[in-house]
Amino acid sequence: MPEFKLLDNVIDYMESTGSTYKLVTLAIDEKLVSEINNQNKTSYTLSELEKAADKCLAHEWLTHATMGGGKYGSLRITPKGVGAARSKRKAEELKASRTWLKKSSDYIEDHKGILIFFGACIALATFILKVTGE
Amino acid sequence: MEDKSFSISLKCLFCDCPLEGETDEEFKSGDLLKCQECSELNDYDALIDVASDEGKELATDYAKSEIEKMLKKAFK
Repeated sequence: MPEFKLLDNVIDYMESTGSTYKLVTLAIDEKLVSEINNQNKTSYTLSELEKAADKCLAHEWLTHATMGGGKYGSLRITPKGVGAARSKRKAEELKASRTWLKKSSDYIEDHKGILIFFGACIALATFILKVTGE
Repeated sequence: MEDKSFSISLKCLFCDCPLEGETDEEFKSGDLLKCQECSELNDYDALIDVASDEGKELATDYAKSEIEKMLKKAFK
């Protein structure tokens, strides 16, 4: 999701320079697009990142830092944005560190609807075979 | 100015819905809270940071309005 790539980019910059969110602004331009694409090995376009920025603005993850910088010219991450990016990062780390047993358990939990459907199909097929006597 | 207490509910950072959980369950730093609405995991520390910022803002607004009232009364 490009929204979190944007937020992660700001947080990485904050951490590498020891700045707080109040001191860092970003502009959605070609330079940022190539920076994010190089960092994440992605191929986002400028319009995709602008759409992502719109989503971030709507969720109050990003806000306009100054007036007159254009819609994407001077944006700042909000505490909510820092929190959302941190949460997403932590959730992904947790997901990556699961054991195979936990992964299987989560897979079953996530797909229980389709598993119940398959189970019902097998039960129905068995019932039909029993009734027809084949 | 009287003592005032503010209550702030923890809201999901992804969908803004109030987070609900078991009442006897205690969370600590490093925990992830699952939103019942969007199923996203929210970092407890991040939620507390956001809520504390919101609390500071509420307290500042309240203090400003009270000071304004006091000044108006004093210069009546």
